[in-house]
Amino acid sequence: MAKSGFERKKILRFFAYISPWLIGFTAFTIIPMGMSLIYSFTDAKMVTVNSEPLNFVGLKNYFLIFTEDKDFQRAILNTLIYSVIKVALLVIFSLLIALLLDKKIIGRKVFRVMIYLPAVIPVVSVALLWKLIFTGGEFNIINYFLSYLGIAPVNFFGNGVSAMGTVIFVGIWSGLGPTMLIVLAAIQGVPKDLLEAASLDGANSVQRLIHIIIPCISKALIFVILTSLISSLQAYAEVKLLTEGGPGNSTTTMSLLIVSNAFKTLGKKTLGYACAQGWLVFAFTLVFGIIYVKLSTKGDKPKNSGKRERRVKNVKEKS
Amino acid sequence: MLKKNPKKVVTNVLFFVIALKIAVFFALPFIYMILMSLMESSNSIFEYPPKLYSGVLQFSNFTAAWKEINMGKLLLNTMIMVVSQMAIGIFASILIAYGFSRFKNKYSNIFFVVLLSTMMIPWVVTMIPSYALFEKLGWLGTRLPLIIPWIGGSAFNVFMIKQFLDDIPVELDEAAKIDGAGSFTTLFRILLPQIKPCLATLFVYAFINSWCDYVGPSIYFQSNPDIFTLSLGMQMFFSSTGSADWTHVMAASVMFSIPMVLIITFAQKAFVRGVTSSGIK
Repeated sequence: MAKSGFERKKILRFFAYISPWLIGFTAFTIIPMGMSLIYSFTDAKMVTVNSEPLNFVGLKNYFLIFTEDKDFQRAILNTLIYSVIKVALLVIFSLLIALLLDKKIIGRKVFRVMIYLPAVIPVVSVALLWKLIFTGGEFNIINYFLSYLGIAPVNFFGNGVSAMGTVIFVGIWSGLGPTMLIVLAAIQGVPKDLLEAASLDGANSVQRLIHIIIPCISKALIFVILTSLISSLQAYAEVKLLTEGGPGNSTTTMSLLIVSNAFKTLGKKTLGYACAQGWLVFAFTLVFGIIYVKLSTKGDKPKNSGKRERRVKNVKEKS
Repeated sequence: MLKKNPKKVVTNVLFFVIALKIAVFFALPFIYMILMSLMESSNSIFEYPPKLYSGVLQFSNFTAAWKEINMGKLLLNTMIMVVSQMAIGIFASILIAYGFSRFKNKYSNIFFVVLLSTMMIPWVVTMIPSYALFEKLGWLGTRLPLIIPWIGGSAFNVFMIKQFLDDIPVELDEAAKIDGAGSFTTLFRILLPQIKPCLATLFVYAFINSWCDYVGPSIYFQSNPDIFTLSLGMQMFFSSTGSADWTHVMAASVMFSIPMVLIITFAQKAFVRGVTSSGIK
């Protein structure tokens, strides 16, 4: 009896302390999501949504995405191309640079800051800077250097392929720092005796990388790949500020199109439709989220028990 | 050991050179930004073949850019956002994390999973109805849409604080309790001083995120130039007037970036800790 009273008090305290989250989560996540779901079955417009009654159209918005809307299909394709290429290159370069910075070279702390620097420059400044660098058609500083290498000048924002390439390039330049640091921390956590034992057995550095380092850091790699994918699938600011989706719709991402649809006042593609599109983005991120949870909880047991042992040890040391 | 092996010295030098080249590649565009901010005029930037130095270092570009976009006002607006988001977001996250860490019960796990999974919800899903909601509340064109939602903390902050709190032995709480401290006092007097490094990291991150945020202000602040932040003000000004002087644009960009550069240089430790502890999980 006394125990249940204690437990009840604990539960009460628990809810008291997490109440800010419960309020915030309800007001700014649950309610908007519910509204979004309802809107997605209507032809509501942003300008009338608060004044006129909702007009339900069933699943029409969802059908429209897959049957008629060539623009959005193109945006889905663009977003997938952007995300997959960017994340693949990001992870490969992160791994290579992290392996390099794991070596005891002079000045690696300075190098680390320099590589991280682009990640903290505000996205507006990043976009303005690269716009300047790539601007001026064929007469810009990049083409000047390319001419030394014997490469014909490129009009970077002039065609779809090079515009997409440019956006991906800027994305990697400004996004590599964090992923590289995570991979580096994981590499530094690889047991040294394991690597030494492999060296003694005659394994070369490539073999050590493939058979020891990569398996040891797989958790960090999975984390980096999936979180980068989830954020790239929602790419907005970097594309909006750099190309505004152009030329044509060759770099338009899903989020870019959704935001512009949400505020349209005419036609079929308005607020309700944008909400339906938003749920499609959610479906994409959910798939990768579930993959992440599946992969990262695999073999979690030994890690947890290790933590418990450590805590027990801590306690013992204290007493 | 390093000195004894000449082959190893050669490879180390090689690694150093490669690392240096990579690091320079990442820093070079920023250096270019600084150089362009000191050019004489837009015309000298667009000369071909391109030059990196126009004969003078024109520092007056900075004052001109500052006046041109009224940067003092934008800076003040940005600081209001940074301070309020940081204060509310971190304070709320501390309370929430404490609840999850110290009052575990049959419901806490499921709530924690829900909290973490909110990180996966794309912002476009909640943004559109939130906009309608804020319009109904009359919050558009005010700072409220980007301040009030922080009362719910942030999943990342809560996760980090909880990790650190979990590593503090419960015996410490119990000792405080015996001494007559309530749970609130225990949290702020006993536990928080123990997780100072974690809090430093969160402050650094909160600062960077609020300072750089473009999407939030660009959606909710559009109608009211009085509350424009640096991100929005710079973007609006430099993209709306096509004739903007690029030396001024770069000067403003440099000024906008400098606090961030200082943070990662001087708070490197707090900073690296955040990146890595989010990954190890």
